[in-house]
Amino acid sequence: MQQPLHHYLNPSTAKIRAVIWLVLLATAALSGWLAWQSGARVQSDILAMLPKVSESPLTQRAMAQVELQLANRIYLGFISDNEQAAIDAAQLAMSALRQNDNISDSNSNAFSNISSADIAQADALNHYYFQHRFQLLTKEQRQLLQQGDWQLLSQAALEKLYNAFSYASSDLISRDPLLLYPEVLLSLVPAQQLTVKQGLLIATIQPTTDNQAQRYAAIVMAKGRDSAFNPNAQQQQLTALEKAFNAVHSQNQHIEMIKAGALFHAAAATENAKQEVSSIGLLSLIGVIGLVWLAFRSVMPLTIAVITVSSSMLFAVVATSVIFGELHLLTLVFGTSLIGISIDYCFHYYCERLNEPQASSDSVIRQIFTAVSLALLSSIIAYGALGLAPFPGMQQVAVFCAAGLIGAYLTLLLAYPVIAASPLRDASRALELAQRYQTFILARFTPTHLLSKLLLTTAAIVFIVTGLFRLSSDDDIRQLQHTPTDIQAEEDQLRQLLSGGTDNQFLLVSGTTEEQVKQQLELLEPVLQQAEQNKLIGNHLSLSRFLPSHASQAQNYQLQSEIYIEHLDEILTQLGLEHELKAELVNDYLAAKNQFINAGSFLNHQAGAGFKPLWLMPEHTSGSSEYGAIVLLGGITNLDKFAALFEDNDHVQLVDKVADISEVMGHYRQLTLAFLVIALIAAGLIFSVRFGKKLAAIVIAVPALAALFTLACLGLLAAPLTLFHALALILVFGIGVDYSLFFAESKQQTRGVMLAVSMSAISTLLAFGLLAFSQTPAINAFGLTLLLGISFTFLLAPFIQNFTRKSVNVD
Amino acid sequence: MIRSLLFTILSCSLLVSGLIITTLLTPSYAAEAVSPNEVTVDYQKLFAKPATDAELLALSQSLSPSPQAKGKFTQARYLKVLKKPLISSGEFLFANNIGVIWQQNKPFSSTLILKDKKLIQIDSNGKISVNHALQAGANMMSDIMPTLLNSLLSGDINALKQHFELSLLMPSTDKQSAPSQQASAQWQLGLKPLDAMVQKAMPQLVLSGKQQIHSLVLFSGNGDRSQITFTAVDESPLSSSDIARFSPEVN
Repeated sequence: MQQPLHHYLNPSTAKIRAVIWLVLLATAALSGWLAWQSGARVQSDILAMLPKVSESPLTQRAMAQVELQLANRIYLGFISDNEQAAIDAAQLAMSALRQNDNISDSNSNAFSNISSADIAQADALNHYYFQHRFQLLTKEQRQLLQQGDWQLLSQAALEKLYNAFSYASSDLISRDPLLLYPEVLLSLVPAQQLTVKQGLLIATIQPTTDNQAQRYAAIVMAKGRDSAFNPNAQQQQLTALEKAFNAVHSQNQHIEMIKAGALFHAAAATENAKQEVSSIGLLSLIGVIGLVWLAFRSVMPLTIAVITVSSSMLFAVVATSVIFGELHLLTLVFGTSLIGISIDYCFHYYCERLNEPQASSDSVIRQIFTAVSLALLSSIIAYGALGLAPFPGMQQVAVFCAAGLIGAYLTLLLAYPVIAASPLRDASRALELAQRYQTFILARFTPTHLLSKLLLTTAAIVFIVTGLFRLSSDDDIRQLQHTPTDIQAEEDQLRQLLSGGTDNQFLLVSGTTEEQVKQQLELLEPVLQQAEQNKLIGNHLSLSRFLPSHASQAQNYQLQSEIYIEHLDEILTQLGLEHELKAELVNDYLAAKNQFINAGSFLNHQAGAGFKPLWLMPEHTSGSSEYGAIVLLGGITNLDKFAALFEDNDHVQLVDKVADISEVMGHYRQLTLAFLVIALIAAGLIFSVRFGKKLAAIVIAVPALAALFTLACLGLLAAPLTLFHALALILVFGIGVDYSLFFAESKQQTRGVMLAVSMSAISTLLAFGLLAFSQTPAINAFGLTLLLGISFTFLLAPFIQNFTRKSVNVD
Repeated sequence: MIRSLLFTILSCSLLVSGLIITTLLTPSYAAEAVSPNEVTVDYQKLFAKPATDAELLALSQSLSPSPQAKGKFTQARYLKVLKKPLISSGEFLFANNIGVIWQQNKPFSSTLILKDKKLIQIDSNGKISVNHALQAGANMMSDIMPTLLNSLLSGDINALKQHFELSLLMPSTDKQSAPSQQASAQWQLGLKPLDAMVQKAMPQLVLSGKQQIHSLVLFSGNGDRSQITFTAVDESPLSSSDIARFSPEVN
């Protein structure tokens, strides 16, 4: 199989190959340029790399709707012990945020929907419900009317009438003599601690031990025009905010400003990732350059290494942006490790040349061709496994690294004969060092006696078993989040001011008709209120109060006939009202017979527009014929107990995206580990064709043992296993198998291989070892696993020589 | 990051709540608009005359400051839909460090107590209900009453400027045109709420008095009017039994 391929690698084709390589590079550069011109971009949304969860169409729409509506929102609090100062600051900030509108076209403004108290919506609600007042009653009013106690309602109305500070005005009384409507409207609003002053939401902060005075926070909300994860939009939004904050500060030094929203997390993450990319990438690069210089004492290998790494990076970036249309920031972070791998090919080439100074560049390439090709093949198998993970981000890493390695491989085969042909300075010191190391560890650590063999095996088994026994797993996706404490503290403070906010779990109520959903919502309400009383949840927001069922509206209308048909004369007399009012009241009541509130009229009215995201109409195009309503939940204390309330309810489903994704992550963690086993077996089968069964098993045993040791170490370090550890193990296999391959290929001529493997391991550890210092837990897990795995592989691989010696002897 | 993203799901209720209270005061369901002339016919002169700082200073000096007061009130509510005005009377207590008690005794007893941002209501059957002041539809009660009483009793007219546009007729400046039939030695202070929402519900208030407040007239946007007359105002410190009245037995 290799013969015909070898044929193309003879010296006569060197120039042609170099030209092909240049053409490939130019093509890659051009298509990359085109991809970026047509809108490819760096993506930093961590959600974009999360797996897709398979759900029913209705559930998916519910999730999308909740996210769409509520993503990209920011919340600002302006705190002062002087209420007016807080209000002034908030108003100044709002006008500063809106200002960009006037400067240029409105699309350039970073934020839309800059608001505090939504007075227009409150007005609209009032308008909407007033026309439906005959269909509405509070629980207490309903009870009294059911008992026929209209006199009690009438007495209560009279008392309100006497109160000069009440809302009893002529207009209202003439249309609602018992003043039932204000109570109904109040009952729509859940209790909470915010007030409204001069159009602004104000939260009162009670004195604490740190701060003796009562303070006030004016709340401002805004929605980012573009995703907070889009770097440009992110920058634009941060700049706009900074401007607004500066304006507030220059007016009043003593205003404390707090903020919350995904924007600030995204900004911190971007900043963190950028820093890590530059610091880890730079350190890795410097380390590698130092390494090459120390080994070869020549500028030439360094130049070639840089060319190899650059062309490999070029292929990687271009392939990723052409295939995905974007480049995830995490791909770049993981991808910095590509420097460490692609350079391996360069190392193998130069170490082999050092080893045989007389051989020409071409003959060296032919010599390492098989090992390098097998290495590429096994790496691509490993990266293919990464790509199977349902994470768009991971697929990118797979494509990125595979393309990068192919680039490095092509550079080696096509360009090296021309660009790396110049003779090498004699620098055998490094070779000797490598050989001395290998001889030393083989002599010192190869067990000779049966007893020591047994002891070593037992020790290894005990280590592995203890470690694996202690190994736990944790698939919670929240571990992907690393938030600086100051951002978290501000967010918690605002959350508290805004009465706890809402959790990421929600209830989805579904039904085949609108009425069924509305009735289910009504049935759910007492359950949720009970759950609140039992402190299972802190609060909930359901459409139930806003969209009563047709049945209960009809009942409310019927009950009010007691007032408007049976006892109106008595009521008017008792309240001392003009009897001319009667005719119109009766008319209004009769005319309102069919004035039912329904989802269509409410949600399309300005009053209900804000609640639209909580309602799902059937959408036959996407295959969901059901109606659905979302109930938002806040302050959940015991999710399991709460979820158990709805276990037997076909109409109510607890949607918990975090748990779902975490479950998928766990599933793929297991799949990845299973795939690692399959990849080991597959590689073993391929290798057995070349090396025979026994040596192939040994070649595979090295990465397999390294993986077991790594898992055992993680167990002993009490690091719970995640998908990222599993993915890293795949890479350990991909890189580690190269080491054993080269040792197996080189038979007894291992000097060059030992040097190349050492350099490769050191450079890889430089790259990955540094990843272990990343603040992002996922990257950290990845780095730690590779650090351990590559170290074990590096320690184990040289022992392969013990077995090639035997097989050589057998031959 | 996930959590924070989803945190942003703050209840929509937030946007609605708190507002409704003020909306309630808004005659947005008013059948017909009432021209302002009809309401303010008596007070046009007053509201045409913005108060100057010097005048306000003179007024605040003429009021004898006191941190507390109690007295009696008579209230007449003139509502268009009523056959005859609703007349009631009772007593009030004010202490600027505790709150306000507004107790109606006739024609039936009912009490409002405002303290610690809570509104305690005792109805004619003695039933006590406690509400968060802002939730109970009591914005006017909770915001305007204490501000008004506090400012007038303690002579701190400036505090009123934060919430109202003020106009003033002092007895010395315009004697003949004092619209009230009562003694022309009275001053009249006109207040227009600055907050648009409050203004919609209650476009104008008029306070009048001599050394002490004598009356308060509240106008609604729809032609309704409430006139409260204060008598027997006593500014000496409250007795301990008075203070105890701020804490009724809640069972």
